Amino acid sequence: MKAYQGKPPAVYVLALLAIFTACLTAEAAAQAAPPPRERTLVFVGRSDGSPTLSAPNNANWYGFGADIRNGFQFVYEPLFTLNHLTGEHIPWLAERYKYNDDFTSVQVFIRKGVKWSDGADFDAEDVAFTLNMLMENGRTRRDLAKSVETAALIKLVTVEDKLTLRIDLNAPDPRYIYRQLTNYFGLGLQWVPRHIWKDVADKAGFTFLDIEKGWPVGTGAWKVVKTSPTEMILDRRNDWWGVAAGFRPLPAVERIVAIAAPDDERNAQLIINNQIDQTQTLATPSLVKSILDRNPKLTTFSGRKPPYGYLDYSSHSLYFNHMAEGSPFQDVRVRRAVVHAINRKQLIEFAWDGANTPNYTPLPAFEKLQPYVDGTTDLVKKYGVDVFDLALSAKLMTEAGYKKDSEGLWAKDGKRAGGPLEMQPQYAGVGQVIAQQLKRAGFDARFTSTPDSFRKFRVGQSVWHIFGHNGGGVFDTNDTLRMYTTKNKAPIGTMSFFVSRWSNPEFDTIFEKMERLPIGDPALVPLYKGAMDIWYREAVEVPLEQAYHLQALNETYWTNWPSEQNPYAPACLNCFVSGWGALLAHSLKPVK
Amino acid sequence: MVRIFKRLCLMIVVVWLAATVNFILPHLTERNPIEERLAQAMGEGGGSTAGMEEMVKQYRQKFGVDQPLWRQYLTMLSDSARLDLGVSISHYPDRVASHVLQALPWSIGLLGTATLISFAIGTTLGALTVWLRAGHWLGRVVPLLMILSAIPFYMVGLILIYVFALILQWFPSGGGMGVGFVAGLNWPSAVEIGRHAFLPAMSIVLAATGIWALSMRGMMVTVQGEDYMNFGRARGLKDGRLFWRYAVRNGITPQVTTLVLSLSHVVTGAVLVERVFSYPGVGTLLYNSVLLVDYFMIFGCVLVLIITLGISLMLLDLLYPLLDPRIRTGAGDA
Repeated sequence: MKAYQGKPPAVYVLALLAIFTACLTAEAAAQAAPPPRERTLVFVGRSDGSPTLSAPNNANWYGFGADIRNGFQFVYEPLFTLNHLTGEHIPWLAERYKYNDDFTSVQVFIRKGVKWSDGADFDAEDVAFTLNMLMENGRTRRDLAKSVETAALIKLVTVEDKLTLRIDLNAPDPRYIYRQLTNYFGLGLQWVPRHIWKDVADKAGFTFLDIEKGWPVGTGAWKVVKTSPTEMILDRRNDWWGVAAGFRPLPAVERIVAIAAPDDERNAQLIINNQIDQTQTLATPSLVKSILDRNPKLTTFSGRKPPYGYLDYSSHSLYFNHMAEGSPFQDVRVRRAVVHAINRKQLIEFAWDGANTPNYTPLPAFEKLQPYVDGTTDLVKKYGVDVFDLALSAKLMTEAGYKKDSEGLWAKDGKRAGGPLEMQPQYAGVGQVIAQQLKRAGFDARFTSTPDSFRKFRVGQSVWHIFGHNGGGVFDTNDTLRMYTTKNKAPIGTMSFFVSRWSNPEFDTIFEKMERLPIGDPALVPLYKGAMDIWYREAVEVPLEQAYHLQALNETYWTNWPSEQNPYAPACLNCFVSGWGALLAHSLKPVK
Repeated sequence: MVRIFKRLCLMIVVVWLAATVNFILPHLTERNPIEERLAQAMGEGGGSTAGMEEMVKQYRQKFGVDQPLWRQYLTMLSDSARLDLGVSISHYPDRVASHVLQALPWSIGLLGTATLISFAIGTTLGALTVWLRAGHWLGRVVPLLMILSAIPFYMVGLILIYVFALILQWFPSGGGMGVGFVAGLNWPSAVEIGRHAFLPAMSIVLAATGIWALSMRGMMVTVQGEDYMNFGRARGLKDGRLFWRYAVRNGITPQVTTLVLSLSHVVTGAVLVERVFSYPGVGTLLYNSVLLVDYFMIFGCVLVLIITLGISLMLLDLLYPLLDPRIRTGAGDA
């Protein structure tokens, strides 16, 4: 106390500050220098509109709420991936597969020399373990994602040798390879290391994340070095198996950073300032154009011209909820009247600045699907799906017993034809135009886009809504047609992505026949036509336009982004478990 | 001692009532966050929701939301008493407490500093404008700040982003740190965090300073006419002593009350400011949890606020007599 009294307190404060400064400087010197920005790939991970990454602390894709599009997708690799833009089926961890004659069994041949990031061999045992784990869970606890589906599809998995396994199916299934063994969009499985997972009792509660231990263990060329709610950092593994196995050279991307950006505005700010190399999917072409105008180094899949992106599987439709009790759309004439009230040309002009194409089928416009679209052109004409005619629409409404009320809206027994037209915010541009067009035709179309809209129409609480075709076909029509089967028709109150809630026994029968035929079989086209005849006759929904992934790509630090000229992969780093992220990160070339 | 005990009991009752409301409100929603998360994951895996009902059942059981509401309420009370905030639905299987603790330093750092700065500047300016009388240039600053205070924080934030982040590019447009920056206990980290906090902090300071200045000005006008001020002047006390010891000290008491209440709100962050600047604080966490109907995370964030507010009010009650002796002696009642 005496000493303190003898010296001014400022001396002590200065001394403390000096010690603190020394500590900070020493800490800075001790930290290893991160790879430069020129070797770092930064993209916007999945955040579902929130300012934080979705589930960044759960690397177990089969666990509850996990979302491995935030960086973990670079840790795992697929057996096969599919570039749906070209139709190319790309072997990765596997070299090839072989079906038996009746499609009840498939042999998978694993690539030699694949290793997990902890040095253990990746082989047929790991694939078999993953499949058996899911099958067993699907029959008992049912708390792992994909477990029920796997149990329904697979009868038995046999490891024939270290690099070969045979999967026996419960029923002939020529599409099995695309359902579970090929990763594209959100389809396909992730493979877990048997030597670690076999000792885990509660697999659903296992996060598989411990950076100190080197978890998650994957086969990918990058490993997680940091994860937090706002960003995930992955560094290149220079010992990646692909180099020694002669599969691919070491990628130029030394560090990958996934960050959260909740909305289009934040995405725009970040890419204009060169803080990120790729945005998430943006809402409108005009937004992409304004972003491109502000930074000459930015581009898109289609270059600096419309449509500013690439085609997606989820073409947009105006859906009717066929199970909604008392809905005016239970009457096919009313549904037809809606079909004739839609002016797609105007829709595309206003909502898409002309950068889209009208759609008259539930299918996206991929090359492999074109024979099916061409095969049903006469049906489109027969049912007038492409006819915008307000007089015809009014005639159908009159036939259905509707009269215009004092406000010029169609009504029957005091009840108007329409209701809240629900949609997610990303459909707002399209929805506002559609709502106006429907109002002009006399429908009570109330544009509604709230945070609850998505839930409402998925559980069947809406009479009509605008949505895409999640999980729709890209090379085969069956992925789209199954959305309209009795098996997949969810009752009201149960959440579903198949939001028309329509089915027809005749349609089911045709679909079952199609399921037994291999992809590309010539007999599929007439069967598809038969199914669509029913679909158009019933005016199940109103197809509107194609969907595009609108994303800005930054060429300040990286080039060789996929493009119309070089569509080696969809230009999407955060697209599900597809393997596209790895394909891109392996292919990008540094500017400097 | 009896007084402290009474205040403590009152605080416990306040916390319990607020926690009860905080428990009930999120449960009024029709939404089922567990089903939504599962459906989202399964839908993205090709749209098929096969087996989802069974999974929803399993996880409802795991989260305890299959129990009747009264049982869930009792569980919540007992868990909260042990400071166990449960498991997050949106960040399963993380504990809620770990996320709140991770976000707290950001909010406290940003809002605490910004609140103290705006309090200090606003209070001093408000006092000086009255003290220096009409005609002084400071008199023109306060109306300008008043205009800024009429604009909401987040709006000021958007303007700051546009000018200083997009046009001039002096400061980053958002985030707590630069992309890919790994923070440590070092100078580059301090500078990095400071640079990122500057614009959000400025948006709060600019919008709040005017309010502090206005309320202090009002108090100073009242204090100026008090007898003890005239007596002090008559005794020939120096201006500085009169200003700080007689005028400001007597005028600042209501400001301190407001400051303590403001500081207790610091723990929940400024939701909109944090949202605009993508700042990783509790406000962002709360916003995110509301968006994803994460009952447990919402409860955790708000419970931290309730407890902080309760403790702050109790401390204020106990400290007030130290600031104003009239309260201690009851002289003010006369």
